[in-house]
Amino acid sequence: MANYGTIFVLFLIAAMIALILWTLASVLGPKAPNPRKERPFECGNPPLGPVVRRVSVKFYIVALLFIVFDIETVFLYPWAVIFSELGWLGFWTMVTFVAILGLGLVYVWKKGALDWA
Amino acid sequence: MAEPTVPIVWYLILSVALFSIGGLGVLVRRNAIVVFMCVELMLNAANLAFISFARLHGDMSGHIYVFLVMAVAAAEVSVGLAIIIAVFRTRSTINVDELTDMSG
Amino acid sequence: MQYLNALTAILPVVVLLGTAVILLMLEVFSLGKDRIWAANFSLVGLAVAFYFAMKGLGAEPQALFAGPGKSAPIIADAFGNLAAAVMLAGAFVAVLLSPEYIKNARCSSGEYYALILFSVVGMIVMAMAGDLITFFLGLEVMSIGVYVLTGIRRNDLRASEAALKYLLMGAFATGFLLMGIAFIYGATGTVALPELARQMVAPVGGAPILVTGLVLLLVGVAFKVAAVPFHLWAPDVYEGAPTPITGFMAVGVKAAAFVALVRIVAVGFANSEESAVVIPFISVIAYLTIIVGNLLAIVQRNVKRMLAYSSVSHAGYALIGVVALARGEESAGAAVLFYLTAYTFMTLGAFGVLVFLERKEGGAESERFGAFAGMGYRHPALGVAMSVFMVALAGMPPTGGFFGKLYIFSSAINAGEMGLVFAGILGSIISVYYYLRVIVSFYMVDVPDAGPLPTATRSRHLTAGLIIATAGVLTLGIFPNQWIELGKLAFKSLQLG
Repeated sequence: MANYGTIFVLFLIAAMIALILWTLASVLGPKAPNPRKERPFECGNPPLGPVVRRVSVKFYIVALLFIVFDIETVFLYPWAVIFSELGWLGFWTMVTFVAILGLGLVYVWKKGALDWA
Repeated sequence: MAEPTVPIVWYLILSVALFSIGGLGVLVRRNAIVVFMCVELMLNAANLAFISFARLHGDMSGHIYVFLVMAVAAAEVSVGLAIIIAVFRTRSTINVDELTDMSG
Repeated sequence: MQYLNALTAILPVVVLLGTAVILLMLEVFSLGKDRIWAANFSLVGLAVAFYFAMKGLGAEPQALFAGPGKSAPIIADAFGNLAAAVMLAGAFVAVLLSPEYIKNARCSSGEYYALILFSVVGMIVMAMAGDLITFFLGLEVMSIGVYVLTGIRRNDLRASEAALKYLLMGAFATGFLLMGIAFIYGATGTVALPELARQMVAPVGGAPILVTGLVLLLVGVAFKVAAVPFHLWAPDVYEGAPTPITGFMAVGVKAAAFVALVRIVAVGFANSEESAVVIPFISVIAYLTIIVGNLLAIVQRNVKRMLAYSSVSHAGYALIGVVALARGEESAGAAVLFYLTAYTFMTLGAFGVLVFLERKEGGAESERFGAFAGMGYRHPALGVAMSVFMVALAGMPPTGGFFGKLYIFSSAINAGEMGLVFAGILGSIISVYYYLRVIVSFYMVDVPDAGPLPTATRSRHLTAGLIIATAGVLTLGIFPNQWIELGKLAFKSLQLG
């Protein structure tokens, strides 16, 4: 547990620094509130429209593709660790896997799912 | 340095609890995306069980099964979200109670 | 080379995968605007794969892709190859039914055929799975393909609803299945089927965990084959999916799940006290499936939904075979395989006739019984074909459906499961009513103002599909011995592996 203790101390110090800075700013800083200043801040403009907005469906498509390709790479790590033990069988199996994955990418690309315009 | 380890059975209890929460969620929730999240919870509960049992048996295979399950779950999520988008486009709702074009 | 040798042993899978990937590439590089080439190309791929599967029947069982010191995930034996041949034949007929449907429904999708091929790859992997995780992977490859196929008409309300329901229920089932596998792994320390069998001989430490795992696994499989009480999704999904796909999933998903179940029971859980505990559980599901499936089929007005419930009840008959097998009756393995083969042809044939009849009027209306009035006179050949399929589904001679039930019931009698046999016979008698109703409406008096006649089809594919299905049903009915002997030989290969 000794090792975790140091981490805990680190957390404590970080929290204290944040707390001290925040307290100093609120105590020492000049305050002149008016209604204009009280409004929520959005880059100088008054806030427009509802907070929850529809996002273009293109984001979803990219997200869907990302999930798949991202997770597939997880197989490469354990494979790389015991690469030499697996021998040629392991090598060619992975080549096939990556090749099929690559063809999937070609398919997605040519299908236009990666076009943003 | 002797670390106090958590007994395996606690992990299994957590796993079964997550599985039950997920299963219950599928049965009672009405938003398709939430239902889908509950299914994912069930899969992850199974993953946790795999990992704990792998630790119990001192067998690395269990860890690899989890990778396989994650990949399958990712594929399922992609297809699932795509289908949910398709449903939303045709009906403007993803409440599973309102999907009643067919019955009998 | 080890890798090439392994690939040679699973050539059906390699051929299918190659065909599907090439199809996708041809699709995106738009080398063919006419969709019929995609169908023909997949037919060629399926035929070649079928040839290799039949060729693989004679080969020695091979354990493939094993890591150093690990058990083999894939076992290419006669059983796996024979099951693959059945699924390939089913997919072949399903593809034959498709061009006509795609033309009328205007769901032009080159991916359609590639997805069918990918699903069949998953089915074959299930049939050859040497461990439960590979079984799970095959199941998911198959299921994900079928989810997409169900919703491939993206703008159709019924199709997208069906796809969502199927996906949510399927994923739910996956959760159970996976948890079951995790528990079995926990109780025995392995998921490999031969290793499980060895573990079972010695008393298992975590018997309650093992039994829980088996029950969860069975619940997952019961969802996939739409066994009562896990069948609630089936009618909606069957109704909403494109008709050829309904046939494909009614046939392929069930065949793959049952074949895998036979392998799991015969190799992994034969002669073990713990697995005997779950036999009553399977029996109850079988009783419920047969009775409820048949009773609900009676009240349906839509033929597609009626066929959905009928396929539920057929899962029940196949479950009788699984129970007999779990009791140690070895003839049940071949009986289930025979039953699935007959079921493949008769069900796909029935859906093929539906594809033909749906051509003019769209939507649910054209699927009602009344819409078939007089069809038997207008299209005599179609009437004969539909009658053959209905007679076969009802389990009457001289069709494959009769012998399928005969083999299943006799193996169950040998196993001492008289109650299940009684339920099966009762269910078959009930089913005669609703199957004959289809024939009766086909030959009802011709309604003069029934609207424009659907003209005789010009699709050679559909015609060929119906001919193959009819021939399959009748061949199995007239020469059942050859196929059941093949099934027995294939089942023997399970014990060798």
